[in-house]
Amino acid sequence: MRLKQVKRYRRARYPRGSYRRPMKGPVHRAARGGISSLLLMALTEACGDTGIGTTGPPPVMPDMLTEAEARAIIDRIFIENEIALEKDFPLIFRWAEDSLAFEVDGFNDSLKVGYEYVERYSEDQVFTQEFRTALDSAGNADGPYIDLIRLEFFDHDQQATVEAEIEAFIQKLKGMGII
Amino acid sequence: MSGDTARRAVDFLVEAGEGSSTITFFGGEPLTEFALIKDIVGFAQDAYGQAVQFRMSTNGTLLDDDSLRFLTDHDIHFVLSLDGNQAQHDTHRKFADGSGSFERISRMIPNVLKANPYTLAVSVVSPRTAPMVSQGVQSLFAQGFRYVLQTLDHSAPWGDRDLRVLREQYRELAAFYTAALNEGRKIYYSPFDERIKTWAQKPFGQGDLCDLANSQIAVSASGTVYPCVQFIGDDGPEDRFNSIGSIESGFEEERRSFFIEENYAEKTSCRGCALEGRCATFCGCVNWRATGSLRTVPPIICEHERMLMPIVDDLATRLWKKNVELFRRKFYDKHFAVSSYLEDCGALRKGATS
Repeated sequence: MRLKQVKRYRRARYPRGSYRRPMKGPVHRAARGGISSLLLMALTEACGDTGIGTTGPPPVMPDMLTEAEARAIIDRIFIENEIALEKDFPLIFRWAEDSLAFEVDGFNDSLKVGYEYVERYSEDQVFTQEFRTALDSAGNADGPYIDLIRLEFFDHDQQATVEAEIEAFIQKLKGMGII
Repeated sequence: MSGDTARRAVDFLVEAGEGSSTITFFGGEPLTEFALIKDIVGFAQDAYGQAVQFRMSTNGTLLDDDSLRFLTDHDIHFVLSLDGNQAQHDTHRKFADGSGSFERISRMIPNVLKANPYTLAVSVVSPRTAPMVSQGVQSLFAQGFRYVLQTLDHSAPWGDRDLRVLREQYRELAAFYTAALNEGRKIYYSPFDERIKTWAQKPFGQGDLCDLANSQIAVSASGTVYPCVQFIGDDGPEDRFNSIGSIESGFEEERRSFFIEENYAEKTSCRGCALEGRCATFCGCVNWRATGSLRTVPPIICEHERMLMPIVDDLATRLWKKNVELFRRKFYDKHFAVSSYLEDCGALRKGATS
């Protein structure tokens, strides 16, 4: 037995990585429409069950971020870009038709920059489509500039998704001259 | 483990998890301490409610209707160590008197699957059982299991001949898997599914599936904290060399960081390999047990992956080109788990009313 690198390998001739199958059918529409969390079971590999006769180590869950973990990642990226955020900042956001008072997960009041982590589908009742549309418009104009971070339940690499989104948001703000 | 240690372990794990924790009972055989399990589950639910979830890994020999009812009532999902058919299973999994354990376990399988149709069967393959893998796995699916997680006994003395035998078994299983997906049977077989995902979805990354010492830790009967259950051994003085703290004194952060960094470290032997990111080299415990180092991949893993990967990719390529609906949904529809579950619920309701 030996370690041996494979130099060339071309056996995988099915789509890779970012291909996503188009969704169709009522079941898919229902799934897409916001079913609340239905965690089924650990579809993961047990960590090396090498003991014959033992029950082996516990199976491992897919790597999903808790809200605390996601916020820690987001806060870190803002700090790396020298933007201090106040946690749970009370804000009243007003738009033509309505207003919403909420505590922004992280917000810099002088820059009017921040983020709000939206936990899956449960906050759709609070952050309605009208609110989100109005917030988008404000974010392209005079602010506040608040990024709504919303992770898909089955994102496979949630940390990478969060990091990419925040980096993109910060770059956009730099492009606008806000920061 | 004493009741007092167990309760303090729960408190420790919840604090380490910043207010929540998924706690898995393991062994040995955890059901030998069923009374303690009931006590701990009651304690945790009173103290922490839904913030603490329980899982279990069991060989099933002590599972009966009472324990199954308790586990089901308290949402304690468990995985069942079941190597395959009777011949395969009883090769290694025997009682002290030398008799095989398969018959006792198999009596409970219908009730287990009725309580949770998604129960995972965990199978370990050794050189002795390699010739039986195909029949064994097929028999697990025939019994109603939908999820079979299979791994090698990496510590066994594998030879080239054994791997050739195993290769033929995988080829036979590839034909079975193809037929099953063609028929719309939703099965998960980890040697195939996980490798297909590393191409169709994303390669294995740092911390994927093995986050020892970080989000995954193990607490022994003495209350010593280890990076993973595989490091506990007999929990004696030599084993404690690999501990990262205790529930009394907390984490030894330097030691903990060492294990995390070692587990996350690049596997330099794999750098530049065309299969890097697709192989099951991520498990620090397996690497450590076989080589003494978390970052050194044992040759058996490399040989096994080089043997298996072409079989899996040829299988997946055929399924893609034949436009097998279930294959495309499983690996390319990110809502498959949800939509599949809804379909299963619908099928169950239809079965109940017809």
